[in-house]
Amino acid sequence: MSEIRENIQTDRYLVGKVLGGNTNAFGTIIQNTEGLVTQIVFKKIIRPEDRKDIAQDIYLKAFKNLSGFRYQSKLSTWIAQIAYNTCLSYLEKKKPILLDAVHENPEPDEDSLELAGGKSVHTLFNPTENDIFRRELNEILKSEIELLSPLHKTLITLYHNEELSYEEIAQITQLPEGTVKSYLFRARRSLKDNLLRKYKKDEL
Amino acid sequence: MKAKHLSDNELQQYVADQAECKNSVIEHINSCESCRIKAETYQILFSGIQQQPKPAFDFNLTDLVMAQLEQPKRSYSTNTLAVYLFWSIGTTAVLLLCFLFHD
Repeated sequence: MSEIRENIQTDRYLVGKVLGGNTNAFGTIIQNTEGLVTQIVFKKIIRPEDRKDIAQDIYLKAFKNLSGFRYQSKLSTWIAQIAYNTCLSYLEKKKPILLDAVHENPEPDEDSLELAGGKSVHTLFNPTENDIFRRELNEILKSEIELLSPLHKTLITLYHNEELSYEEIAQITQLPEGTVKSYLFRARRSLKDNLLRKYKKDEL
Repeated sequence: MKAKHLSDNELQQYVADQAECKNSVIEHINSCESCRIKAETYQILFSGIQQQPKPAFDFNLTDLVMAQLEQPKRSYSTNTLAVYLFWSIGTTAVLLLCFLFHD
């Protein structure tokens, strides 16, 4: 609770400074929110060459509309919402080109989820192999996350890496909270199935 | 205790936030090896996602954006203007007096 209050106070202070004519305070706002915005841009925009323009566009829009910020959410959530919408508008314009690049994983067969003998992935390794396993897993996971749809990728990142609440994610993506939860469950399940399938294949 | 095996959603809920889980779910996990193994797989997945490196731009976003913002026009307060005015009048008066009485 005190963290939320602290956030609101910092937001009020910084926004007040910018609106009072201290443009440099906007630099602090960029630094405070860049991590979250970068995650959204990287997850939604596939082409690296487009990310630079989009990232700048997001903050120019935020600066222009800052007087419209009503403190109904954290400033970072408000800027993340601008980031998300800016990415969506871009994707909408580029739809015919990018549609083929979006890969949705098929829903897996329930029977294919278990490894042989009903073992979990990590019980296949002894403790000394665990480090190697974790490193390998992270590499595989990285590529599997990339294969998720941009929406699933974004939700996974906002929840697990940025540690945002369902409510904050719902505000950013303008999806109902229930839908956010359901997409997240589906995305995680898809990731888990793909990982198991990969390990199962290697095991055979 | 739940007799049926846990659903995928229940397993994820258990790993994501055990405190929000029903007691029957927790009891089932504690006594069912199959569901415990599935939950462990999710635990590995969750920690693997959290360990993914954060992406970063290869340019300085703050500098790029700040260079495009309109710098605020310098505005003077009434007090500052008054000080400048009195200072100018004073200096002019002193110079004038020096010029008139230098002989």
